[in-house]
Amino acid sequence: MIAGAVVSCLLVLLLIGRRNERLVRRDWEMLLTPRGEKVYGAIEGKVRAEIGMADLSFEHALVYRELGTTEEAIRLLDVGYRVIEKFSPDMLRLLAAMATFSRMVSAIAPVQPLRPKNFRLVQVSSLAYLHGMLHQFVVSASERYRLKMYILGRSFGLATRFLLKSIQSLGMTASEADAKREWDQIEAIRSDFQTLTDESLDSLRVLLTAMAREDRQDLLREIAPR
Amino acid sequence: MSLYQQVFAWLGILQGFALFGVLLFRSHYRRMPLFTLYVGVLRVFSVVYVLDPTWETYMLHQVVSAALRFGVALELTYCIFGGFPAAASSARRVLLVILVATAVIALATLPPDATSTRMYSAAIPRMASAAIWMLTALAGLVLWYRLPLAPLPRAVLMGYAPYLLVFTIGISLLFLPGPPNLRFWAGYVDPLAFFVLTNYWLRVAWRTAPESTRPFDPRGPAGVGLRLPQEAS
Repeated sequence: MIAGAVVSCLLVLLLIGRRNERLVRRDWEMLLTPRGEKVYGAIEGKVRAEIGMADLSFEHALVYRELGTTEEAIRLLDVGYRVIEKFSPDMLRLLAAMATFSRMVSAIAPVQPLRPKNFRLVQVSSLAYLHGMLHQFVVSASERYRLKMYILGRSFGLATRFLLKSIQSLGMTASEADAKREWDQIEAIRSDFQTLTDESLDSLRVLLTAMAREDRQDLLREIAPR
Repeated sequence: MSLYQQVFAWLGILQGFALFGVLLFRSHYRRMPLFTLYVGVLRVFSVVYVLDPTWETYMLHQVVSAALRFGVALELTYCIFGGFPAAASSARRVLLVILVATAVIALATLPPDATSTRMYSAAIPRMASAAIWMLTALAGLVLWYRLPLAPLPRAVLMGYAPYLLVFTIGISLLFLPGPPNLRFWAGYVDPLAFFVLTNYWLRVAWRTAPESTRPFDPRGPAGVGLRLPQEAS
C-alpha cells in the first residue's frame, strides 16, 4: 500500500510541478470571463476565414477544370490543400482544448451526434455512424461531448489525408474516369470540411453556453433568499 | 531525546511559530483558517512533547495532528474546487471513498487481541496513508480538470504529501522490530523533513500576497458571468 502511495503520489506531484500555472490560469480566464466572448469571435473569424480561403481555391479549381485548364486547376487545389494543411492542426488543438474544458462542465446541453447523411466522404460518414453508436454507450453529457470532439478531430485528419491523396492522384492519373472520381472526391471533401467546421464551432458555442449557464446557477443560489 | 534531537526540535518549533506568524501577518488565515490552526496547534503540541516527552503526550500530538490533517485536506478541497461545482462533487466523492476504504482496511486488518501500543502503531501510519491518498487524489483531480492553483494551496499540496510519505515510512520503521541503527536514523529523518517542509511553506507564505490565495472564481474578479455571443448582439 505504501509503495503504491509513493509511486502514484510522486508521479502526480511531478506532473503538477511541471505544469505552467500561469498558462493554466490564462486559459481559464480567457474561456470563462467576458473575454471568452471575444475569444469565440476571434476563433470563429479565423476558422471561417481559413476554411473560406480553402473553399475559394477549390471552387476556382473546379471552374478551371470545367474550362479544361487542368494544370491551373491542380495548382489551385494545391493552394487550397496548403491552407487546409495549416488549418487542420490548429483545429485539432482547438478540439483538444474544448474536450479538456468540457470536464469542468456538469451541465452541458444535450449533445447531438454527427449525422452521417451530412457527410459525403464514405470514411467520414462511417465515422459519423460509429459516433452515433458509441454515443448511445456513453452516459454523461460531458463524456458525449468529449466523444464528439474526438470524432471531429479524427474526421478532420481523415479528410485532410484524403485531400492530399486525391491531389497527388490527380497529378499522376491519365484516364478521364479516374480524374473524375478524384474531382468528385475533392468536391465531397470540400463539403465535409464545411460541415466539420460548422459542427466544431457549434460545439464551442455549446461549451461556452454550458459554462455560462453553470455560472448563472451559482448566481441564482447566491441571491436566493435563505 | 538526545541533545541534537532537542536542538532540532526547538529549531523546528521556532520555524513553525514563524510560519504561524507569517500566515497571520499576511492574512492567509482568512482563506486557509484550518491550515493556520494546524500550524499553530501542532507547534504548541510540539512544545508540550519536548518539555514532557512521554508516550501520552506523543499520542495526543499524533491524534490532534491527524485530525487537523484531515481538516487541512478538506480545506484544500474547498480552496481548489470551491469555484467549480462539477469538479467539487467529484472531489467529495473521491475523498469519501478514500476515507471509507481506509476505515474498512484498518478495521479488517487489526487482530482482535491487539495491544494498545500495537493498535496505535498501526493507526498512525494508516491515518497518514489516508491523508497521502487524499492529497494525491486532489492533485490528480487538479490535473484531470486542469484547475488553476493559488501559490499557497499549491505549496501545501506539493509539500505535504511527500512529507507524509517520509513520515509514514519513518514511523513504520520506528515501530517495526529491526536494527536499532535504522530506528535511530528514522527518528532524525522525520523532523528534518518537517523542517524542510515548514521552510518551503514559510517562503511561499511570505512571498504570496493574501489575495492570491483566494479560491479561483470562474466568473472572474467582478463576479460577472460570461455573456454568450448571441446575447452580446
